[in-house]
Amino acid sequence: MNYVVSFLAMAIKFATVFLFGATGEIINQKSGHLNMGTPGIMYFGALGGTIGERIYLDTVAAGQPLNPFLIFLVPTLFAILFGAIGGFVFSFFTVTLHCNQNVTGLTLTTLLVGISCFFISAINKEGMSDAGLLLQNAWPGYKAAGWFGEIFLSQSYFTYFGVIVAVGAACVISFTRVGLNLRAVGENASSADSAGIPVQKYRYIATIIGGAIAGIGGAFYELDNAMGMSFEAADGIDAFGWLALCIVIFSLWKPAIAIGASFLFACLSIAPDFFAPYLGAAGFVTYILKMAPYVATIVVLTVVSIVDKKQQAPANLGVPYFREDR
Amino acid sequence: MTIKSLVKKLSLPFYLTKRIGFSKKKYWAIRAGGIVLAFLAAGIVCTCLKPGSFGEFYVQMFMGCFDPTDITIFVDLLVRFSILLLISVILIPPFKMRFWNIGAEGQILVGGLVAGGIAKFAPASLPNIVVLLICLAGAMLASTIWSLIPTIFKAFFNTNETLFTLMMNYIASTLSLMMIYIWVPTGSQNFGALTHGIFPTILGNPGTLAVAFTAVIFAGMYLYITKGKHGYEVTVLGESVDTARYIGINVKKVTIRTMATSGALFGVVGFFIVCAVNQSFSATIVGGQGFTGVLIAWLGHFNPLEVALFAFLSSVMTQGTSRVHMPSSAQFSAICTGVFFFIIIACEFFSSYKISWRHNEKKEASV
Repeated sequence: MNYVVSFLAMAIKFATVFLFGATGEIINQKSGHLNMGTPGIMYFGALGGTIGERIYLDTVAAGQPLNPFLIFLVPTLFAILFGAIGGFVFSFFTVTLHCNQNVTGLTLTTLLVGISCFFISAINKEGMSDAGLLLQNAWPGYKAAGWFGEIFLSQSYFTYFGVIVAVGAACVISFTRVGLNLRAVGENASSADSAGIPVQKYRYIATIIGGAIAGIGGAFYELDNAMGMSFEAADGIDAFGWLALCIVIFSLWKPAIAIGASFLFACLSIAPDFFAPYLGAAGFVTYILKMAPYVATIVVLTVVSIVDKKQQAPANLGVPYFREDR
Repeated sequence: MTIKSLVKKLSLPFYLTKRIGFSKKKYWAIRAGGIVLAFLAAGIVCTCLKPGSFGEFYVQMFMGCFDPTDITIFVDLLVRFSILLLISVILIPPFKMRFWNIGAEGQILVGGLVAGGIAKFAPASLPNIVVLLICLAGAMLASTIWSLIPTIFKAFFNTNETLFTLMMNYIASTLSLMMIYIWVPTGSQNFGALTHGIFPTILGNPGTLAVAFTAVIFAGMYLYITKGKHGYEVTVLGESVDTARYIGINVKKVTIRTMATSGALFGVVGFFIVCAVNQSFSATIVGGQGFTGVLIAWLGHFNPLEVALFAFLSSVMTQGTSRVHMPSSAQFSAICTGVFFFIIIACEFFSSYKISWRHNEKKEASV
């Protein structure tokens, strides 16, 4: 029982990283822009988060207690800023300069992973592991609620914020005029343009907001899971970014489904490490579990393309829009 | 406020038009400017990270690629360049028919895995050349299968190939880790140095022979892309699927054939990387070159000669910057390579669009 509880609690924590990345990327892709820079942007957000935490820790006088909410808030604001910068660079190149999205995204990932690794390793990490532990104190008395508390109330502010952002994004995309316009831009940019929707503006804003949200995911991983201790531990943030891209497809471009999908992918990601000690000779099974998220994504992608062509990606995904081309 | 003044207020001070019939001279002038700027930018990045090292940076970079006293450094560069060139050129046919194959990384890795596995377990009694040929055949077969899986779904169900091939990369990488786990009982992350089924070391580098073979494959690909009937069919298909169908091209057949060809050739690349360059196998052996190849093929406008130029410049950039004395040189190299590609991408814009300023237009109108 204890084992299941700690597994689920850990999975939810891990899912938060995916959820931010996937929600950001869904907003991005709904505007018709496939941003393969997301893994890099998540890493860049981690750099922003680390800088933010350093600044906060430096302002607190020695011996003074740290405020868990501020440990969440200050790095998050920095991560949003850094993620937004990453998103802006991507949209400047793809929207204004009409560059190929795949090429720009891959380059952005190379550049941002390089920059983030370089600077994160240079930042003084003193006090960050204590701050990382404090992050989980969103509900200090969670142990009183038994297994429910252990699983759902032991999480950090980031997790609750992530769910709020995903639900908010789902509502905006499905139920508001802005969301309708955004979908129109992603499905058919020239029709949207004729209907008077400012295509470029929508694409810019969607990419910047998407980048900002993805950046928070990277910061959360760096500050909580890796506890800000070593940058080697955070080496895999770009790998989570690619998994976030899988989740976008897996959840059929719907942020609400992405919440469940993130949890599922998180379970599959942490299961190998949880089960490894019990497998013995069958240790290769852990690799099959690691493969599962990608295979599942491919299955969803192909089944959707065979069964219902309309449910696939936004129709204009990856297509640059230049008015003169019409 | 009249509508006219509102429009005036909202519009940008410039507008864009697509360039048509752009002279080759101007095009290359812009590109050359971009390349110079990109190399300058790398120096500036270096100076920012380590003040006062601007001149030193270029000296170290030059010596890291073309050191006249040490031929092996230049051979290293040639080997790096050959692998990158092969990957980029093999990606040209799929890209030309607008099949966005970003799965080169995985397709090469699977070929390398099979080649490495055969070399590792081949009986020592077999002659080296026979083992090498079996490795080559196995690698080509594996990579072909790996690249045909997404292709068949694309051809028959129009499944999004960008996302599919991207997923296949990660499956290939996990599969490699699993096979290493099964085959290497010590728990090491690689196969260890292969003793059988390897290329001879010439000029201090085991990859030298692969460079020679690359030249042959490049020449073949150049003819295939620019002169052959297959290359023509691929070009038409990329321009317009309907046109291709009207002139009697079997779209499904061409798609599958092109991807099978490029898959088989990726097997050769995997074979070179494992049996020649590294003489070992690990899951990170391709090291992102599959993605860099995508960038280069696109920036070279699918023209094999232009692709060769960019592959060379990129190799110089990567190898040169990784040998500059910096605290974390791998990351520094990644930053410089990223800046390099961004500037070239930006140049792309200036050579395909024309910026016209609105105040010029007004003057022209009044004259």
